[in-house]
Amino acid sequence: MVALTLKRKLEILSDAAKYDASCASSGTVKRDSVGGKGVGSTDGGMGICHAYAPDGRCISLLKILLTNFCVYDCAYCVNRVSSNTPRARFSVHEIVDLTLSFYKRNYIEGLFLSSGIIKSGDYTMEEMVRVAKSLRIDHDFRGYIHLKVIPEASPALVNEAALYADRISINVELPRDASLADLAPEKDAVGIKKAMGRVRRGIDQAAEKYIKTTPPKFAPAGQSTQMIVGADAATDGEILAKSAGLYGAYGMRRVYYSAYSPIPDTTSRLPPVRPPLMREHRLYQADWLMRFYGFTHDEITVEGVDLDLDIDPKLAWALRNRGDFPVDLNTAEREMMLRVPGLGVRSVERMLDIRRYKLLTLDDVKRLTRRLDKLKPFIVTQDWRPGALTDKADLRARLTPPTQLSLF
Amino acid sequence: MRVVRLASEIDFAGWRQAARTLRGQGVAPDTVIWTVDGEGDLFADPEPLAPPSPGGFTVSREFLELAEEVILHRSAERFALLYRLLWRMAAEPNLLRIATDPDVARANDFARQVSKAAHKMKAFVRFRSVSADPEAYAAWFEPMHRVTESVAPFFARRFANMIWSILTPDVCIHWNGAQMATTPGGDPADAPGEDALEDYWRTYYASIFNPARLKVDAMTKEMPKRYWRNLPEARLIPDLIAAAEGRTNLMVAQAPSQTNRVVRQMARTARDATFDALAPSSLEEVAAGVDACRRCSLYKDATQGVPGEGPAHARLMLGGRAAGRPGRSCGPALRGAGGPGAE
Repeated sequence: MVALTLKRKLEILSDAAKYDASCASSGTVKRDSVGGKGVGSTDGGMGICHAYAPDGRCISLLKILLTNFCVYDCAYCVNRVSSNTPRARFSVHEIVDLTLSFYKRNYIEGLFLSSGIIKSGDYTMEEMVRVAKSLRIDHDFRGYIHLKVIPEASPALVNEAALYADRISINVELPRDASLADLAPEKDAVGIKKAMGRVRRGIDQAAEKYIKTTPPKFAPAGQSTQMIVGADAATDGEILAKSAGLYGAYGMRRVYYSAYSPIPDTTSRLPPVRPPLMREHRLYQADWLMRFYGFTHDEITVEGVDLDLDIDPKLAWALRNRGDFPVDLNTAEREMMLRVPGLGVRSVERMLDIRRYKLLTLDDVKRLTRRLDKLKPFIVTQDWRPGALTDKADLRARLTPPTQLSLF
Repeated sequence: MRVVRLASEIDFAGWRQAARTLRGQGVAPDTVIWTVDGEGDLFADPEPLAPPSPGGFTVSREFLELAEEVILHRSAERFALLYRLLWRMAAEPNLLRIATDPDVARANDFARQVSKAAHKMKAFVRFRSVSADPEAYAAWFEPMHRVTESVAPFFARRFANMIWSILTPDVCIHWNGAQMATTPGGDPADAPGEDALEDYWRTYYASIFNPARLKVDAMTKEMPKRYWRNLPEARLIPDLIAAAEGRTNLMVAQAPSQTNRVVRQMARTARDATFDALAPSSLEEVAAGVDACRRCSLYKDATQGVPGEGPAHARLMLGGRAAGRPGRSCGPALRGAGGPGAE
């Protein structure tokens, strides 16, 4: 076999990693390289996107695979054993070197390392941990590290991974357990859940305050997961119920939705389609409503029902629950204001601030929001009442743009 | 008219002292002209400000933080805007809470734009190697607002043990591993022209892009074109966009691939593992193995496997052809049409 150049390896192993949606470098502890030997800092809250690709996605981390050789045969994955994709494998040293070289030039916030399964789950996990350990111990690297955990790997290895990583993640892959058995025969839904549960316990224990001892570090930026949307028949209702479960049971920081995307080498088990990007977008909006707007998943949509692709899920909820509107912005509770379509968390906070000193008028609302015409049917201000507008039969048509842009 | 001349474009301390004095003396905002040293002699030399009157007044911490950010904005009206806010706060102490007030909204907009410019500077500065030993780097950057000095400590904390310079048209920052120094604004020619690693970075940028998800507006919203000329990866963007549609069509139209050699081999190994691991130790186990055997296609039309019979330690073994119909459906070997004597 001809030895691959480092550049060719980088090409193969970043191409193979791009189907993972997460690139976040947020939510970890605050630290910097002052007084250390190496480079790196994290600011604790928001991460930094160092570039954006023409797909609009943030490039924050060096997102690569240790290797794309894999003994599994997951139909949706370009790296499945039955695919004819070119294969490569990085050495531990090569990844450490690339990460540091990129970091010192301010291209990245750190490393997001994942891998195909070679030999065994434990063997692969061990190699990944070696990379993180070398960065942290040999090079005193204080930037961000996200490690993908292989669910079959032993708990001791996962604990070691969490000691060096800011975030760890295990992908649930598909919304339905049955689809996982179908499309990813070597993966085990129960094993994945158990592994996520162990990670949650590790995170909880590390957060507990002991009087005498400090618990070992454990992934201060928590855990996240990813679901592929459109590779099986699960409806949006099922997907959101699954997400709600994941947020609740495993304390996920984020659930990522990844529209099933055509891959260069497909299998007859799962024909290529254009990725359902609008559906993915609506799912993220619904996810946002669950996390920041106080909606429960079954308020947004129920099992068996997909989200409306033409209007956002908050507007859809408002149109179904017109009895709750209009909302008087000068008297309503915060919770109810957050449910008004077109009002974001920031504008609600500002309105609450302002109304302590003066009554809100339509002009105030206009300055704080983008689309006043969309808001008007749902709000009352000092100088505005929507009257019968809220209950008009053609309200949906009035609020929906006449021509749908074709997003593909 | 009162003319105030500040020491620099971002002279917050100077602005603060002048504003405190002016408000203390009851000088209304529309009678003050704010200038910066070196801005030519458009106005006569300012009369020196009288010392602040005793008594003084207080403002909220929030206003000071807002003002410190707003002053970094490139808009010429920022000093006057801030003084107008300060002036109005005497009568309207809660003014900043009214986000819809035009002056407050404008100041908030300025602060947001400055904060965004600072964030983009943290993101888009690209260092180039100038020396390997000692390891030293330099970057050329053009910030949207005058945020260089305020962002510099971020780089000092992140690259505390590295030697680096960030050169901008406004000011240049130098870190020697222990101390920060500033020099006047520079020129792109002062910065190194290339870095071999940029080729690797471009390789990464091109490979991590998914052509099936083209969203150019989402990219340019977060990475505005004005930054592209100093981003080594940006030169790839036009070609990546142009080729995306074709690459996607190709992927969607392609036929499923043939299973590769490795997989066929693996499938065979997995199938045979059942037997290879078994290593039968009795005739019963051999019989069970025959029944389960799928190594050749003969099993396909067969009802069941038909094992041999006789003592396990026999010194002689007779082999015959496949059992005939009676044998296949009911058991014993070498019976029926294909039985003893045939071949």
